[in-house]
Amino acid sequence: MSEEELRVGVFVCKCGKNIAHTIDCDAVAEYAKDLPDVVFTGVNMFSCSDPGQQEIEDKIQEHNLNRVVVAACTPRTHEPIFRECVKRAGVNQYLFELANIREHASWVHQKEPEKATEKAKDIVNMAVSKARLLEPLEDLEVNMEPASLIIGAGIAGIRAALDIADQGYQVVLVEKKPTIGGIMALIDKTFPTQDCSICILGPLMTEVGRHPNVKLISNAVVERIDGYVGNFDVSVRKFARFVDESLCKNCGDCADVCPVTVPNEFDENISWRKAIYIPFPQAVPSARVIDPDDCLGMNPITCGKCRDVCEPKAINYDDQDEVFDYKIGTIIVSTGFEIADPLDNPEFGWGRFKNVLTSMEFERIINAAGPTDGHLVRPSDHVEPQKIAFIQCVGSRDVNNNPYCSVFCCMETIKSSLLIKEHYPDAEITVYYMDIRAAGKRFEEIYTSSREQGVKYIRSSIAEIKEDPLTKNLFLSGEDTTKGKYINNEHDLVVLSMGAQKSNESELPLPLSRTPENFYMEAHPKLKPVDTPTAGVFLAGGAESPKSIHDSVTQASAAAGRAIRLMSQGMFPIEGITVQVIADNCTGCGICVERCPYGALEVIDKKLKVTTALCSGCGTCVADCPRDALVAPQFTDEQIKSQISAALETNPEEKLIAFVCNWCSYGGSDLAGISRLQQPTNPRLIRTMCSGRISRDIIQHAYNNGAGSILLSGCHPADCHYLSGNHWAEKRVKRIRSWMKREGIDDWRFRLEWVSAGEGKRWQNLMTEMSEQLIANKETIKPPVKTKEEAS
Amino acid sequence: MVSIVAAQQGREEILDRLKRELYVCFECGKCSGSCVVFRVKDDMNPRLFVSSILEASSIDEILEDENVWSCAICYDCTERCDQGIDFTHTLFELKNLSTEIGKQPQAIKEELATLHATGRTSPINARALKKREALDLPEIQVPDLEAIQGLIDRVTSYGTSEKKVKEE
Repeated sequence: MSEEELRVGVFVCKCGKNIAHTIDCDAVAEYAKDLPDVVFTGVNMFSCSDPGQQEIEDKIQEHNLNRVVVAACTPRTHEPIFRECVKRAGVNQYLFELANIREHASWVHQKEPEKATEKAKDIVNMAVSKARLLEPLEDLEVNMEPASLIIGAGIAGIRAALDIADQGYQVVLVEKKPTIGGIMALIDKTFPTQDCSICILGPLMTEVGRHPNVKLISNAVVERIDGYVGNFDVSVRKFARFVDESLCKNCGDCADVCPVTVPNEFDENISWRKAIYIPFPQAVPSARVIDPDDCLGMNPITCGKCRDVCEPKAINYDDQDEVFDYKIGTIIVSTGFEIADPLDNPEFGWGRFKNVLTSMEFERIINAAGPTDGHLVRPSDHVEPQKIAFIQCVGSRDVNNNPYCSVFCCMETIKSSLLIKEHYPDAEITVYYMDIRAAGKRFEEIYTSSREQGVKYIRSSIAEIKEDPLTKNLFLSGEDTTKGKYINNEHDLVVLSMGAQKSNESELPLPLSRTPENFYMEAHPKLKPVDTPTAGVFLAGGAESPKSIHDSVTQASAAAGRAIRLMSQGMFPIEGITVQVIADNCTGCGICVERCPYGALEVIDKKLKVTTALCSGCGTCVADCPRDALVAPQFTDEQIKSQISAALETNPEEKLIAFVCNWCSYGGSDLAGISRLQQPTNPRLIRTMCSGRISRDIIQHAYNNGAGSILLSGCHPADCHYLSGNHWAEKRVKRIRSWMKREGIDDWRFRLEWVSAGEGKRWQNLMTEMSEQLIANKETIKPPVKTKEEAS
Repeated sequence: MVSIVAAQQGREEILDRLKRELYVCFECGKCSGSCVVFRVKDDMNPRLFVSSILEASSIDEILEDENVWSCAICYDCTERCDQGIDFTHTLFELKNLSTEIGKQPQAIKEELATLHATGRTSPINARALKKREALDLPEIQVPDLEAIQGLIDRVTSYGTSEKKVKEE
């Protein structure tokens, strides 16, 4: 590229009066003429309009321009438009630079037109300096395998699998348990319409088991996921079942002769099962399974009864684990949640008092296919209870265990109260609650209906439960908070309405981040609620947060749609700004590997390998590379330093260099502009994709060129667009400060602040405060030593 | 310790801090349900107490409530609070503040006076000593009166409250 003569064109946009009202655009264009390598300058009324873009295209061709600077507005909205424009004129789209003189000058310095014009000249100078160093880049495309891996086959996984399979893509559906169906398969009725749960789920379970495009693997875990979007290499370990699924007729002869009886975890351990068993009658695959921990037949001398009676010869004690490998394009994580642990609230006596049940135990008892055939009885004496209590928010909204609201439990209790009333109209039901959260379609109606049928709702957080040792009845003490009175009510059955917590499953072999509560984190809470930051990986159901069946299904279809959207393209585009390696400089130290939250970097035999498709281009690794072996295209050290030097050409001690990340702080500065929040003219902003890109070396360059003060700004700690870039930026501050101390640079001249894209007002305050401090202390700033050395 | 910190803080600052510690309360009433005192004393309602602190305009307004001294220190409310509020501790702070301005109930004042004078909260009598002997318990140690008095003088406004006791 260096062979080619540089021909820079600068187009100054008036943006109607938005820019021209404050800034003398002609003066800015005139100034730009004298900048190095600038061969054309022009002024447009509206650069982004069709005629404006046409003019830029014409001038590019007419003057044979190979670098283009448009001085207009924010790249956050307009960079893609102008990149397309220069591309049409035959210039690589990465040889374009936008100088933001609207949000960062005309709109925020409306009362200081002269200073604003001077600042606009600086901004154009900075853009031209960077443009001269830009290199052409190519967007990559990677192959997209038309197959999805879905991890977890509860209702979310099943729904997503069917959606994707029906579109003609292959699906590998992996379930840890011996049957699919998850929690929904175990509960009795569903709110708000009281459908029988297994009656609506069963057909979907059968369908997904038989679908020609679905490879269903139960009793299995995903052991390995390598590769990247479109090209994941996946290994699935299917544990030995000891029963051939294709031969088993599910007759049950084996269970009849099995001598081993253990608690049935599919009945919440309130019933028994044999060592060879089927989780529940509607299980898919419809085949028995042997639990090797309980079965005596693992030692052939001890027992072989079930094999002896099995007519289809389906039982094989020598069955081994199998490992299957698949090539996968997209992944949906639908591993679900677990019911919270009732032992976290010992004051309720679960486990000590027989008649205190969890909501899941209640579901199994009231379930027609459950251990009592749907007869509601007390566990202590198998008598029908008369006075039933529900306690809400157990395992939810408690900072000691799970601080969040589990969302579904209020409605589950309301549903259960209606169910009891339907079968046992004389039962007295009391619900003890903190707040009833019935926010959803038809939810309020069934809440009303429950009260109409005589269910009592008492606003009280029960403090403790005591058991009468003779009757096994329970005394619930607490405060009725509406009356402010102490209550101590007797009930003969208590149901703890349990919340949800993240399942304790072993870590998936995927670099997914989690919330403080251990649920998987979405890429954006509003606009990308089913995406993860890892391209090609999506979330559905309870793995993302506690949710109802309705919400799980909605999210599953959304995730399936997002996955299909990628697979239907056949290819996946990768932006050209991904990290590059200068192999000669790299020693394979591996510092960069630790910086990357995407697993895009790995050191193999002391050599760094970059998986471009995994890189998001944040540049955090580049900033911490001790050997300058990494390059962040579009944001190289040279390009950033050239912007700094350009900004500090005149009166550097009056300038405030603000390094801002693209996603949050630049957004905050834009918002201040859009809101016309007036600020001093001292700041000069330099945009990088992430605050993690700014190295100590870059900061030093700014001080060595005389910068008055420096702001390093990024997203708030938990909000980093690249997960952890701001964390690494913060880690560098200590070393920056100690360097400053050695150089005699006062502490106040550097600040690290987090500013979100919504904090325009805060940006204004920060700029004002730092500028005022700079002006007040200008005299104390010693001219840089290094610049003189460099000059000499 | 608590009181020393409190002494260094202005009363407005203390009120602010207490409110910051308590604002998370969502009035579920688990504290009141747990409170052994509330079961026999209707007006000692920890939930409403928290709410009145949150609405108070001064510390002195809170100290008007005699229930500052009603806590039995069983810690059940603290143990069970879903929002992690240590209300037992809050009441300790209020009791210290109450003592500073000599607002303790008469019984507490007398107990403190006994402690100051003898180093014990209740006097030793011959019957108790006999019983200890019968039970083969070790001899009661003589308290370090100077240390105890120093502590009381330092962390409470005992002087003022003692004076008040005498006056009364």
